[in-house]
Amino acid sequence: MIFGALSGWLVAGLAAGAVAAASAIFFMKVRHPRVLVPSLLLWRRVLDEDRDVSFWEKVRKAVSYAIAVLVPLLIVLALGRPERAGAGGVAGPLTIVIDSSLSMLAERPDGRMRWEAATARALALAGDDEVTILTTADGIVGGPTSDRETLRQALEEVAPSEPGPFPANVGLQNGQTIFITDGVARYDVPADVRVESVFSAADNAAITAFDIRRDFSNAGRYEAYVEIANYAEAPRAVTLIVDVGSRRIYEQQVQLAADEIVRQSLPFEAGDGGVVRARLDGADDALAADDEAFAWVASARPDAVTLVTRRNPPLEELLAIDAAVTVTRIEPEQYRESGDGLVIFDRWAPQSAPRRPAILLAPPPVPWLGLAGAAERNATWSRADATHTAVRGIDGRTLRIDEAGDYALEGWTPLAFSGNGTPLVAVRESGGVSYALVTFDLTRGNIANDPAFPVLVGDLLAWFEGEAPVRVVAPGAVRLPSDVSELRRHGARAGSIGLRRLGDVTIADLREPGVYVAERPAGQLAIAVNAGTRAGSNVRATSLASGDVDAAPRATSGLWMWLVAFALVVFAAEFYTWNRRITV
Amino acid sequence: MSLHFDNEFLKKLEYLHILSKRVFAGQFRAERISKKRGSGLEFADHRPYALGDDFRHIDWRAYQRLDRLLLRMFEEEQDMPVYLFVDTSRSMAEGSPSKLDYACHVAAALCYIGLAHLDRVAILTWKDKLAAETPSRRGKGQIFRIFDFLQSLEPDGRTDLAESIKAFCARRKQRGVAVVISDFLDPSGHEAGLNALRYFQHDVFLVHVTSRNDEEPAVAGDIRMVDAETGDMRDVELTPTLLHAYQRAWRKHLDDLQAYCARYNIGYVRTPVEEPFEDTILQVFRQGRFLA
Repeated sequence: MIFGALSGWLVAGLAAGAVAAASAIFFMKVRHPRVLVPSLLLWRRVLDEDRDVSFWEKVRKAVSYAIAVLVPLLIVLALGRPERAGAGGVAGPLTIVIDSSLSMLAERPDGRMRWEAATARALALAGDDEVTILTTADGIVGGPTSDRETLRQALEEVAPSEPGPFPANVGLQNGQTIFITDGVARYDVPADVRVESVFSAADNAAITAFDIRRDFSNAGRYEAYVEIANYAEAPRAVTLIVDVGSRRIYEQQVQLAADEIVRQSLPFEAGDGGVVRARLDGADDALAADDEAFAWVASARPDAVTLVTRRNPPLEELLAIDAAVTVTRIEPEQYRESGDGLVIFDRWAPQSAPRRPAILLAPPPVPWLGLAGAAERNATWSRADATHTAVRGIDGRTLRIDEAGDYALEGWTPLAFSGNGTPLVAVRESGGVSYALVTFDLTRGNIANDPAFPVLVGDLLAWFEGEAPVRVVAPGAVRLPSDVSELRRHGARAGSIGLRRLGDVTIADLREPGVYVAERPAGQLAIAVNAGTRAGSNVRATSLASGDVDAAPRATSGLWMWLVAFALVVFAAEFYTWNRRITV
Repeated sequence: MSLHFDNEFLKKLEYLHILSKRVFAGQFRAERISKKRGSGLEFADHRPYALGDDFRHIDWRAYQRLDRLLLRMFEEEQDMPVYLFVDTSRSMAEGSPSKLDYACHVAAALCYIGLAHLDRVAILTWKDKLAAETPSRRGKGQIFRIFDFLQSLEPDGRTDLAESIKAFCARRKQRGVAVVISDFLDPSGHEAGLNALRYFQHDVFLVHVTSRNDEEPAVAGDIRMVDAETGDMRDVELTPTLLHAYQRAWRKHLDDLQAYCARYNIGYVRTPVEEPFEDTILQVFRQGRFLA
């Protein structure tokens, strides 16, 4: 017999404790209640005479003791969720893959999570031969071993976090492979893998999208974008609450029809910025992890920007509508080294490096910034470091760049590249002064009319103001820039998160939703981990065929219920017969 | 305890007499036939005239027929001593109403019947010895003193009928009707006491006061039984088997008492306290030929 909820040793300990407690209570000398009788005259005659003792009178005490021990023993065994070892076991080597997507946290009608049902099923499947257990997120978590206790302990160490890919080559191993899943996340499962389901339809309301963006037309104001979905057959009323730090900016009841998705845009004052948390109150659904979502509001941007240009109407207009900055346009001849704030050099550059932060837009060759080769014509925005504030969120697929200069970028950090590898955006920090270089002319091609244009300019300004970049990711392993020195969880459950470094790659395992802050030499990087997605939160639908549904979860839950029922029956019988003195 | 009989019940009691299987010598003229020959109305016998006899009692018709002087004898009607022995031991506190309350009511009713017919009635309470007693009283006017006496009784002490009766017999020599009202749960047995009464030629009558709890104890499980009189304790696991054994012992106790009474021609009435008191007096006692 194996136990699905507790370890065998723990069950044995509890059982021993229960037997000891029951025995102690049974044999405890309880002071008998005093009953006044008129005379013991007749009672003495009865008690002192030799009476015929019935069979029940002889065994009554032993039977009572057996019942007193049996009832707590049965309850302890039931608590352990026992299963018959090998009852559903598979002969021969077995590989079990468990879906570790977040939807496996959904609650089943029997009160267990799908994950719990899956792990119990995995242990039940384990026969006498060696078993290897994998999850889609973690790979091998236990085995190969024939020791179920080892497998059980290994499964206790893992929890659902992200779908991950279906482990490669498992179907090629000897023996049988079984995949236990709820079918919410779709996997490319080899044909020879047997699929078992722990799915049972469950209603769920979720925040399926949440993000923050700056309102360029209002200084210090932001917009929160929230998408709420009700994956249920019945309408539902939930309360949407949005907090910025400890300040509540929104609280409103939202009526959701069946399978309705509601999108809301919520303007708000950023204030001092910080964590933005959206949550659904009163959802009372199968999956709690996606009832809240997080974002991060960077600190407010400051103002003074000097634009050195002959003429750049698109850029001038864009900066003019950004109420957060005060723009002063000057001709190149008017440029003086003195002054405060950020300076933008448009198709012009001073002969020596400026002593204040500067953005250089397609500058001509100057002594401190020369050309390395010929310019690339008709360049495309191919790739960028999405973790860097200066180029975050730029969709360059529709950008048409007429010409990208090939600058000598020694000491610079290229952030975006063309298809031919020509740097398009680079940054440099030298002597405490930061520079950003855009190697193409913003006035040529379709750049001024492309959606990427205001994003690029906004990102460059944000980088200079030291805003922490934000990434919104799903729970699971997150790839971070290699220069991240420390990663901390932000908020009430603050704490340091371990980093795994694999060559140039740094990976953090962020399984719990929340906001995490990474420390980098170039500044902080905020990571918002949100569980809710349209695909993952819809725990009412499964991609599995009905034939994949397995009865194993019901089978595992049956034995403990029988034990509890038997304990209740025995207890009731004892209570009834004892009170009525039937069996004595 | 409150002793109160309504007028209708008292009127019914006045129609009743305490029956005695024997004729006892009284002290005063009353309604009972005595062994004495005297100035009663009922003719008893003739005897030869002797010097000094009252001429008025000479039967002249007999002289005419027999030519002898015969004197007419009449029965003397005297009072009858009635002794009511009320058990006031601790065991009489049992029952609802308590056996002592019930015994006091029985004693009061019998007392009233006796007083109404000019018998000399005395109440004696006993437990492990004779405890208290009233002087022998005559006439209905004494009933309230009897009531006051009965109302003052409290259950206390052990039971010892033999000691109590022996003490009574040593002090009161006049024979009469002895009514023993008790639950007869006497560890030393009831026979010695009753034998003493028989030896002194009292007309003995037993009123056995019982309660349902005596027969069917309303207890179960592991209990510690405490004897109300002695304070002795016994730990008992009261099972149905044991309860049945007790009930058998209880029935044997009743049978033994009844058999003893039958053997020595002693009147016996069992009066469960749960039964209405008036029914007991008006029906049970009459059926038991104690009252008529």
